[in-house]
Order: sequence, then C-alpha cells, then structure tokens
Amino acid sequence: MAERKTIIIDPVTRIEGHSKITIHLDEQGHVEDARFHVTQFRGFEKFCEGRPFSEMPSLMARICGICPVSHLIASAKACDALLAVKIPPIAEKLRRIFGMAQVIQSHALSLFHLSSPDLLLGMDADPADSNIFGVLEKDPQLARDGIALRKFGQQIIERLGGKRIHPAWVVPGGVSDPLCGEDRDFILKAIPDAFAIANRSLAWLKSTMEKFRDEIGSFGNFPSLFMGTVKEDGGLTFYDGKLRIVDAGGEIVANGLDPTQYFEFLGEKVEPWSYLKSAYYKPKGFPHGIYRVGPLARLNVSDRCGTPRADQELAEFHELQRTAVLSSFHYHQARLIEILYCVERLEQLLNDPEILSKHVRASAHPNALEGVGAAEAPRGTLFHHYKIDEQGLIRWCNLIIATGQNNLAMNRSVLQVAQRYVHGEKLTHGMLNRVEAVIRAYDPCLSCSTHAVGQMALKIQLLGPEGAVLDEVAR
Amino acid sequence: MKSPAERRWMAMGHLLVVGYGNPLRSDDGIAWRAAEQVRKELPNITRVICVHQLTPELAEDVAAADVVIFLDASDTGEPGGVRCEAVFTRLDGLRFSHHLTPSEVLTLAVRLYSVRPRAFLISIHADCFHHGQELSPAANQAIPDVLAQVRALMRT
Repeated sequence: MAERKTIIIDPVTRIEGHSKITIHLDEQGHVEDARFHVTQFRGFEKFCEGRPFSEMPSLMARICGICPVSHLIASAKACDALLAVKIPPIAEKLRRIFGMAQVIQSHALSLFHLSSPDLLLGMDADPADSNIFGVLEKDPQLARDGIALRKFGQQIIERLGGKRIHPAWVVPGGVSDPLCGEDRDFILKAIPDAFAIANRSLAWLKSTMEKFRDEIGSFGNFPSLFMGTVKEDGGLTFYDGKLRIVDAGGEIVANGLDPTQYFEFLGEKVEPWSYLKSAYYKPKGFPHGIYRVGPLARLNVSDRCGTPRADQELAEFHELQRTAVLSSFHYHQARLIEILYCVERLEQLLNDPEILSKHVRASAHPNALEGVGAAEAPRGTLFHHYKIDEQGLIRWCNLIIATGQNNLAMNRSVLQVAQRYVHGEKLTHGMLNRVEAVIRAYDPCLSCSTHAVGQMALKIQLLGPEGAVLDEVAR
Repeated sequence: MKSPAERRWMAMGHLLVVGYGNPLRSDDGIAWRAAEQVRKELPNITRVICVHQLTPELAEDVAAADVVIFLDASDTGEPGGVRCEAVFTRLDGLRFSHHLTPSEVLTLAVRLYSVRPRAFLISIHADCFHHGQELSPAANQAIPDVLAQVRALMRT
C-alpha cells in the first residue's frame, strides 16, 4: 500500500522573509492539504512596552527594510491621536508623497525583481534562470525599467527622509523638516521617465496575460471578501479615509468603517503551525470571514483612482470580471496600476503652490492615553494601536499587518494551486514553482507580520525517517 | 586648491565607493565608516554610497562610474587586516533573491548599460558582529589601511 507523503518547499524563494510550504499527499498521491508556514519570529509588540511613545515611529520603522515608511506613517498617525492634534495640511501632503514613494519602490521590487522571471520566462523555466539575470538576458529593457522605477521611489524617500531605509522623517505631529525646492524639482524632473516606465510595463504585462490563462484560473481564484481604504467619493487612497469591504460579487458589504475601530469588525486567530496570525472579518466568523487586502483588494473596492491614466487602467481592470476581480494572479496588474496612480498623484502634490511651506509640524503633549493609526501599506491595510500611561510610556501595543490579513487567502491559494498542479507520482520544478509563485503574487512581507509573542502556540514535532511523528511537544 | 594627487585622480575619472554592511552590528558597519573617511579625504572626486546590502538599483550608479570600490566587512582573516581584490563580471551561477555580490552588481551594470568600469573589493577583517554601533579597536585601526588601499588603486 502506498504511503502518505509530505512535500516541503523550504525556503520559499523570491519573497520578503522566511517561510516554508508543506503539501500533504494522500496514499494515491493526490493533494489533500497544503499550508504556508511563516517560520521567523520578531515580537515588536512586546519589546516596545515601556518605551516613550515619541520613539515609536522610529522603532516601528525598524520592523521592515522594505516598507519602513508605511510603519512610520501608521505609527505617527497613532501618535497624532495620542497628542490629539490635527497636523498641518502640508505635513499631511508630504506624508502622502512619502507613502506613495514607498508604494512605488516596494511594488517595483515585487513585480520586477521577484515575479517578473516567472512572467517573462514562464513558470516552467530553469530555476537557475528564474531571477533578474534571466530577465536581463531575455528583455534588458524590462530589467532596466525595474531598476529605474525602484530607484525612483527610493530616491524620493532618501531626499525627503535623509536615507533610503529606516528614515525617521515622519514624526508625531507631522514631519521633521519641510520639503526644499531642490528636492521638489529633482522629483518632478524624474516623473516623466517614471510615468513612461509605468505605462510601458503595464502594456507588457497585459500582453502576457493570455499565456497565463490556466494560472489565472487557479492562482487564488476563489470567492472572498476584499478590504481597502477609500476616500469619501470612493476613490483610491493610501493615507486617509474609511474602510470599505466588498464581496466576491463586487457588492459592498460594509462601507464607511472607521479604521480606528478595527477591533470591532476584525478578529485574529493563532494557528499552531505558523508565527503568522490569521485575520478575519468578525461578522462572518472564522474562517468564513476570509478577506484579502493589498493592490487587488484596493482596486476592487475603489470606484476611481482620481488621475487620468490610472482611471483608464482601473476601468479596464474592472472589466476583467463582472464581479470583483477574484484571481490573485491579478495582484501583479493591480500593482502596476497603483504605481501609475502614484506617479500621477506625486506630480499633482508636488505642484501644490504651498508644498514648500515651512509649517509642517504640530507640537503638543499627550492628550489621550490610547491612539490608533491606519494607512494603506503596499501590501494592504496597516494598523498600529498604542496605549500609554500618564508618563507617555507605551503600556500596550497591537499591530495588524497586511500580510496577516492575507494569511487565510494565501493558505487557500497554496492549496488550490497544489491541487491543480502537483501530482505525487512525479514532481517537477514547474509544479512547485507555481506553488511559490502564488505566494509571490501576494508579495508577503514576513518580517513585518510576525508579532504574536505571548500568544503564539509552539509545536515541535520529532519525525522518523519515514516521516511518522515520533513525538510532539506543544505549548 | 587641489593637491597633485587629487588632480591626478580626477584625470582618471569618476570614483564610486560603495560601503555595505549593518552599522548596528559593530564591525559590520566598518565599511560605512571607511567610506565616509574616503568622502572626507576626496570630496571632489568621490561619490559614496552606504547601504545595508547590494541590490540591483546600484547597477545604475556603478555604470556611471569609471572606478568602483566596494568596501565590506569580512568574518575571516586576522582582525584588522585588509584585503583588496579585483572584481570581475560573471557568466554563470548568477542568482538574486534579496541581495547581490559585488561581482553580480558589476555584471548587471555591464550587461544592462554596456559599460566597463574597473571594480575592486576591499575586505576589512572584522572582530565583532554583536549588536552595537562601536567598532572594535582592530577594525578602527584598519581604516587608515583602507584609505591607503583606495589611494593605491587610484594610482594603478
């Protein structure tokens, strides 16, 4: 009689952070279950306790080398709430610029450096070629475009924040320094090239879609909820607004949700096999409250972008499916549309006649003992929630990260792809690469998302040579 | 007024110094310190970039330079020692997930932008990679040797 088997993909490559995937086969070699395990652990929520709240933005930026700006912004907004101040209007616009630069560089990294080898060379390409060097051999212009676009975002961050990684420019009450004319002009001068790259890349990506008809059909293509922040007019936003949730049919399930009250409608569950918590929409319970965040979700919940070219692309994107766009394969296209939007919006903001204003920070002492900050990070909605004591020291901290909100969907996607492509009798690289590629579509950032110290169950299994569990310790 | 050495170096072209490592892990930040010293000594002819790790975006900067010197901490060798080697492009075994080697950055620059800068790697043998922003005495003492190596490379 044939044995049950487990295929382990460890580590999952071309993602941010460390994880593995297990695919469980039955006696006939059919996929029975599949799981995405996050195997690294951080614990920022715990060791921030006792620190002055004013340190939080800088501390939180250290969570991640890819999206420190998003953590800075969400953290500073939580601190704004502790101060109970309304920050100067230009400070808010500068934060928006900073956040969009982050979106551009992070999305460019995901699409061009990590996923474009799959899209350009195919899912069955030799693993030795599935990297940026393979891309440069096949399409040097695409490789140059990816490098230039990511650098464009990084340079904006460096100009505004003083450095590319872990800048501390966003502070409670606003930003630490105004924008100077030289930096504004530098960014404005670079915008036409970035705009051209975004357009060129979108045209290329859309031209490849026909080749991936099968993957589109099975890469996380299932009904779920989608959540994102929208402006009052239903437009796309990364900085401020209310949360909207739509269902698989594209119908609005909840609208105008106050992100500072996230705990009323979002829950989190701990699983024993991963350091990544699973978020769910409370009214539908666990696991039926599965929802997705990030570029795909943001475009599914948004009625418009608010900039000319991005609006054209959004309209076309919404035509992909009469309902919400369900396949997670379309995260890639959504990412490029968001880049296009950010480039257009940057130009609008930088041409604001008041953008060089020196009044960019409000000062106050703490006026509240609890504050929540939320923003749209590249990978989805990000929440920072702090409680302080009378001395302004952090007493409690909770972070809900986009990757955790996609955890249920990522696991379901891995199972769907494994069941479609993996057969136990004969394994090929292309099969397993597709299982990894669906995870890449979500662009998970695992260093950001593993913070459940004190709550996380730990299970250690001792496996025999045949894979049988010989012993198990759990806490 | 530029020194004769500076004038000679300027005639040789644009120098890019890339220091990489983690300045919060003691001697792993030696490259950042040494790169800053190079910037101070040769402010008019040197562009300095300090990064945590080498990424594809550096290919553009490397392509714009005539001479590129990568500085890095090394966990082998006698602490405080300095080793210099030429960096060449590679034709096979190239991979990228999160970061690149100097050779891979150079390869990207050469293949994408059709340039051929001279490139070198100066490795500084470190003593301590613990948390902290202070350099070990051995690493500190290596900085003048790094500067001497940079000057020597610019003379060749």
